[in-house]
Amino acid sequence: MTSTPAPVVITGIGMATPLGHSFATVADALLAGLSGVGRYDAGTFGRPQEYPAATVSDIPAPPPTLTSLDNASFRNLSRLEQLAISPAAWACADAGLHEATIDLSPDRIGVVAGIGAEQLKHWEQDYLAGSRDVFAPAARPTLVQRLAATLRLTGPTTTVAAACASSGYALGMARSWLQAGWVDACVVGGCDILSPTALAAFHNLRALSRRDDAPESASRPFDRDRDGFVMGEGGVFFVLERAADAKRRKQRCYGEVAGVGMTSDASHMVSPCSDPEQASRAITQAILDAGLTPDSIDYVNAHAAGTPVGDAAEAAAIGRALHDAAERVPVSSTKSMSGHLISAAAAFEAVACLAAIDRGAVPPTINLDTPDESCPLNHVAHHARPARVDVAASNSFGFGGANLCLVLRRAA
Amino acid sequence: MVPVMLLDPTASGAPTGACTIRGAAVVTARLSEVTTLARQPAPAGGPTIPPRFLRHADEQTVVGLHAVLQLLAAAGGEPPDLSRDAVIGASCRAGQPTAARTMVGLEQQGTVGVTPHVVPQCSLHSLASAVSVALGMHGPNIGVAGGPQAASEGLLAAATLAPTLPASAHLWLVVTGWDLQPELESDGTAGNDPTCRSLAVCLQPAEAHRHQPTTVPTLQITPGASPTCTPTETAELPLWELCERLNQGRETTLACGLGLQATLRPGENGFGLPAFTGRREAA
Repeated sequence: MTSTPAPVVITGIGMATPLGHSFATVADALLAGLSGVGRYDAGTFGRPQEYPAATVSDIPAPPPTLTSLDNASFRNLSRLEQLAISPAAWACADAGLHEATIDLSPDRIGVVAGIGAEQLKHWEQDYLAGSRDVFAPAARPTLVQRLAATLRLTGPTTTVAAACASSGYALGMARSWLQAGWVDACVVGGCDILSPTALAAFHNLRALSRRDDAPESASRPFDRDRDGFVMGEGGVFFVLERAADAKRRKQRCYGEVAGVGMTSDASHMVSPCSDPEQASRAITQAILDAGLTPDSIDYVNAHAAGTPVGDAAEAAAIGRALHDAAERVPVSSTKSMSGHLISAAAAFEAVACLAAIDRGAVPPTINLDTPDESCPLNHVAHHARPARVDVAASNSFGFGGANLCLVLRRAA
Repeated sequence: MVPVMLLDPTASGAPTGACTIRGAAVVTARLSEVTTLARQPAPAGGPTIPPRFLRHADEQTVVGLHAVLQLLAAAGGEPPDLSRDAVIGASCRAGQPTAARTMVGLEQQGTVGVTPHVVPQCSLHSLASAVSVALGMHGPNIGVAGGPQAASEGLLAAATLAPTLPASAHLWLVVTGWDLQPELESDGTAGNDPTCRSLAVCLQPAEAHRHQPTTVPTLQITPGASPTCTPTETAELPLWELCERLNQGRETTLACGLGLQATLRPGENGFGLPAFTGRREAA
């Protein structure tokens, strides 16, 4: 005899992204088909090195009531810390966690951060600043511990990593904690920064687009002329609560995290897997976990980063998982606009799904001039498509064969 | 071809926090020995791994994967079907030597001096992914922690994930870290020779073993962990000390924030750690 897990809903959103720093702004940008990609100089030690990339400007300071940080202290934090603390704090404010009337104990609020390479980023930024912590690292708390302390939260914390799917796995972890009754609310999301080392490594892997002359058109998922992904940065955090608790608080619900599917290709540490079986299985798991069938899906936000092998494999996975519904269900990749936010990508793309649910329109894949024949999907090219969206699926895949699908549903 | 697997229909999807410990193993290697260990084949009696699979791997990945291999070899019998298994890799400040070489390469040579392996092999997911890829595990592979609370966060993540797996699947928790962090010179050479340590634990949700006696070792997540918790209840118990406590069959509780705690409870034969008697030191 088993009980049905409690529905878990999103009651707060905060973000700092190349397309804006609020849900409304980002939803507007996505549905307008705007590009956040520009030219970025990742040069170090006097050597210029330009890439097409999506950067965040003017990271907002956190609301003063939520942290002890004043504006100057916030600006002194590392960029990765800023991209965690600002969106997490704004998500808490959006969910009303700062209100004195709330009866949540800080011990009962968890924090889960999807961050794929925090140490590498720290060592790199430290080295570029002239210090040498990488040679003899000092003990220091992890970013998620510092984030929890800044927000004065004392519940369980953890950092979750699954490469480019990290923040999606974090959402799955937080949902499970809530369903187990281990916490009453959870601050969860992911963040990442543009880093010279990561850009160089991806460049040397030939994974990045080399369209340096036209950055806005460099990110072209599913297009016949795609030549790699465009790296981005950002931070996106949510507050998750059980639906019954949110209803009792009369808190706005952006949507329900209705289903999660997680599998591994077990194929290769670096190369994407051309066999769609495990990615398809993750999508199927998420749909079943939500208690739905493929016919229920109204929109798929694809992982599709613009790599030749990865996009084609995902198209096959979507086709296999959705069966006949694949011809009907609109599919787009918002990475065409935002770039690939790496650890934060899954959280950002969950926002894109919530925007589709909220606005009644599917965001497009821009730069999709000639859909690749190897990606036979119901593409939403160039312009948003009006549609009622009650259920959206969002795929995220990563190095090491990590496959994740989230199913997000309009809150009851 | 792996058959299509769906979530276990008998599982509610909500973690209960109770797992049965099916086995555990520890592997240690000095920094100077890790390269040799990476080239060693899997121990006899267990599954093999592709030759040179670990040639670009981080030190913590090398010892972590070998702990899993050691546990599988100690179990003996027919090679098990691992295709439904999942893995949690909880490392602490992994990737340091490669990161140091990468920084020097970037400074001296620019972009071409950066190895493409630094991101896939030295990130937080790398340990879990290497176990998954090497052993054909198609359940989730997830990295957690990254800092001194690796064991605590790993146990919590394992108790979270295990109930969502099919009843026949195992969850492999691999915790790794340095007893002392390497001290490197600016040319990348090591100024010390610290021990890299890994603990691999094989778990199943308790519900999958209702018929088992209550004397088997378990992992349990429960409310608790006060601000005045005892030293062994802190979240930052050193990995060597945790391994020692398990080796001695002592119940151990780790804090997971102030609201939760993870308790490792021995069975009638302690934690039944076969690999503690077959500790694998690098040749």
